[in-house]
Amino acid sequence: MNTKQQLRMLILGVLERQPEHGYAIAQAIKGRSEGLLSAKEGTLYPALHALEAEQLLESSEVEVGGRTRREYRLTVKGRRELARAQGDWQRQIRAVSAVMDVKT
Amino acid sequence: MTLERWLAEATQGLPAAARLRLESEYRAHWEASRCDAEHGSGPDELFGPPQTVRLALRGLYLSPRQLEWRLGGFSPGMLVNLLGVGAVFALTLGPALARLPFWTVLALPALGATLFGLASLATWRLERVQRSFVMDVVCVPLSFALPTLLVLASWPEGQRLGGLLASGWPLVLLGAGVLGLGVMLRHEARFRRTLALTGAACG
Repeated sequence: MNTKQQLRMLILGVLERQPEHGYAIAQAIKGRSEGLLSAKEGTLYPALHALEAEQLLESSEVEVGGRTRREYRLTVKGRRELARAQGDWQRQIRAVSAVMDVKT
Repeated sequence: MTLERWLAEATQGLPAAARLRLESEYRAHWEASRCDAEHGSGPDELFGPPQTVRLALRGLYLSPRQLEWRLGGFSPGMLVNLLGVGAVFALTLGPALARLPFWTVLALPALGATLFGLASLATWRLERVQRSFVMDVVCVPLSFALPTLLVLASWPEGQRLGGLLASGWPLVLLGAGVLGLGVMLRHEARFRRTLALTGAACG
């Protein structure tokens, strides 16, 4: 899985819980991975736009504390894609763990 | 580097609607980051080099000039067809004429022209932009497949597969056709993405 694919999966994973705006998505990725995963945040928006174009996400502008922000949420198609990606990822982890003799 | 400079460089060459939306998203991100006091340094530190972002964005959206060209009913498939048909027929017509009866050599371009005409008639009622896409999907593979068939037909029956594998260039032609189709579909996806964002009318 390359960095671009990884970012797509991480975005879908973050949005599974609730709709978020770009900055919150970046923070969630950093926070949940304990700082291990932190791509340059400029690449986040091209990825969000691409996911929206594929109808895996949808977005709308919302006003929070007097500020307008674009909030992204998963679509049904996005949930299906996330489930597929999670399955693939689990299989990869099991395969690599088995070869490296690591208990998961 | 200031935020304005970073935004100008990252969104350079994008249609106005895409620029506006991205600028507002990056600005909101920047402000939120400043409020969290997460970054005391410049936007290139937070977002990365603007050139990297610009490359990623140019892969998603067409430039205003490309958008205008597509809205005029033109498409990359038209160029591929024009170049493909010209070059390929120039390469294949001579050898094929030397081995096949004249009417057989003419039959394939005639079939091509008929299919092109039928596709044109079938898409007549579509909007100009949709029409160019459907025509491309029909005509790009056709412009590469027909000359390849013509060359194959000119070889003796028992030697076609062996000849195809040995001579190589009909395979290169088919590869070029597939590549052309891939480029065209990618361009089409960028076009539709840009249209969705700009809301430009397609006539």
